[in-house]
Amino acid sequence: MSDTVLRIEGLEKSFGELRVLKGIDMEVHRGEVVTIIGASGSGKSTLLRCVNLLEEADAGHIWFDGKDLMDLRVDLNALRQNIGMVFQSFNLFNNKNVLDNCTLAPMSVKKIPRAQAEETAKKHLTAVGLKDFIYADATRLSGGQKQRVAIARALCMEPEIMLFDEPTSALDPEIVGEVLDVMKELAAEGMTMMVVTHEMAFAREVSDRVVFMDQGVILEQGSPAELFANPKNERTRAFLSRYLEDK
Amino acid sequence: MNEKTTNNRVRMLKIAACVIGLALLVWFGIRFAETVRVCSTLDKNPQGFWDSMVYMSIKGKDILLKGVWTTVRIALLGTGIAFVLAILLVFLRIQEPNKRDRDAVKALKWAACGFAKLYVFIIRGTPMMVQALIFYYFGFNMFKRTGMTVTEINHVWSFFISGLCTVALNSTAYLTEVLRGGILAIDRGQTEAARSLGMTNWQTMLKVVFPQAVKNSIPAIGNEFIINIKDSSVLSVIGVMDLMYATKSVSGIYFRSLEIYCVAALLYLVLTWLSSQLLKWLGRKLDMPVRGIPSSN
Repeated sequence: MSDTVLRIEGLEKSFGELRVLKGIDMEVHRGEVVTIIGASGSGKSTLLRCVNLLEEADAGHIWFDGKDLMDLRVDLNALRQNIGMVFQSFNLFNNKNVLDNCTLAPMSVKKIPRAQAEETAKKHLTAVGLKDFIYADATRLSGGQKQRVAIARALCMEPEIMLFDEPTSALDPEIVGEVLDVMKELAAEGMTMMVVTHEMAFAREVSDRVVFMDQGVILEQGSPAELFANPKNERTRAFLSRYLEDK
Repeated sequence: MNEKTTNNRVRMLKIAACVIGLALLVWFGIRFAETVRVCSTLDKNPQGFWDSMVYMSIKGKDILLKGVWTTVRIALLGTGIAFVLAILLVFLRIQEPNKRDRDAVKALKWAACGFAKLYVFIIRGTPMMVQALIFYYFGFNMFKRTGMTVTEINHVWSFFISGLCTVALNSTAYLTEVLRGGILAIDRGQTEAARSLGMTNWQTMLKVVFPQAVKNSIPAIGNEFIINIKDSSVLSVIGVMDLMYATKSVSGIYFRSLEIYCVAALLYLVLTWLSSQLLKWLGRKLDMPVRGIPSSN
């Protein structure tokens, strides 16, 4: 069996009375691309946000790098350096230009000298096709460009795993492609990825495994071929039917 | 009536208004110059309202200008010091105990936040005039205990110094709330992005949230400066020789009150108007929203 990067056990999370996650168990292996699909409100994003503790889960374990993130004594900041995150709303630092967005964390967290951090940043920015925007103001970019900067920014920390929280949901259909292309390249390079998305074509084409969530539980998971061609669960079939009919 | 005649009439009216306005201005100018000329030769306060205003302004020029200078210094330095202190206090104010903190850290954070809250509560809930008096006498008594003579104390703990401290400490409370508002207004996503990259809470605040919050707060900080120009007038109660104190002095010399307080009001108006124009200009330079003269606290 390939080695496990992330193992989630019995994760539960409530917002007040609302139980969002009702015991999630899953694993992510090194180099694997896992997409999480499901209706809005099914808990996909919350699950992802719990993985790097942007939301603190109520119960369960998150094993990463041999440490349990739910252990209150664990050094969160150190572990978060190895977990990259890309948000739906980009969240670029508005007070910095593109290059500084990418170098801030390596310089202040990892204490990498500026020259070296900038070199790494330029490499990643070039890879996402933003070579000409290195000194641009972060607030002046288009949505697609912002999201590609956000991906480059996360990559500058050289994470072991990348989390994508609906990275294309805030983009118009024409621009979605440029972000997905970057993600595909990343997957091809062997990056371990956990992607929450509504882009079924992406899930089908790029992922090694698709996880279907509904009302806080994982209803079904498997290879895209299995899940899309022959969903076993009634709810999965209903969710996918619209997409499958379109095909 | 067709459109053309209407336009013509409007234009005629505008020209007429301009001519009348200009004529009035010239007339006032001549009258004013004449009054100034006459009043500066007088050696007795004239009976007329305007004449008396001009007379006392000319005679009390030095005292009044000194007062203006003191007021400006107190407002400027007070707001400046308050800004620095508010940055420190707001850091305490936004501390929130986290369940991952050690117990000692939790207690410290709780105490820091509590102190900031209490400070803001007390300062905002009491008038600055009372604060000025308490502060002055508190300082005075403290120095007295060290065995200093009154003359020595007046030298170290002067009216100006204690007045400046009052304004600074008072504004600190207001600016703390301004900055806190600025911090709360920053999108949560900025913090989340920084934390997800492994930055500590402190680094996130210092390098991401704070620069943006301060920039957004600049118009409100400017407002606080204008408010301080006006509100520092209460410091005359402890003897700070600001514009208000100077006005009282001039009134005492020439035995007229209404006229000289009208002069003081005019001078305050000029100060606040100039400041707000300056802030508007600054705001445009820094690409920020502009506001008018604010009301007092």
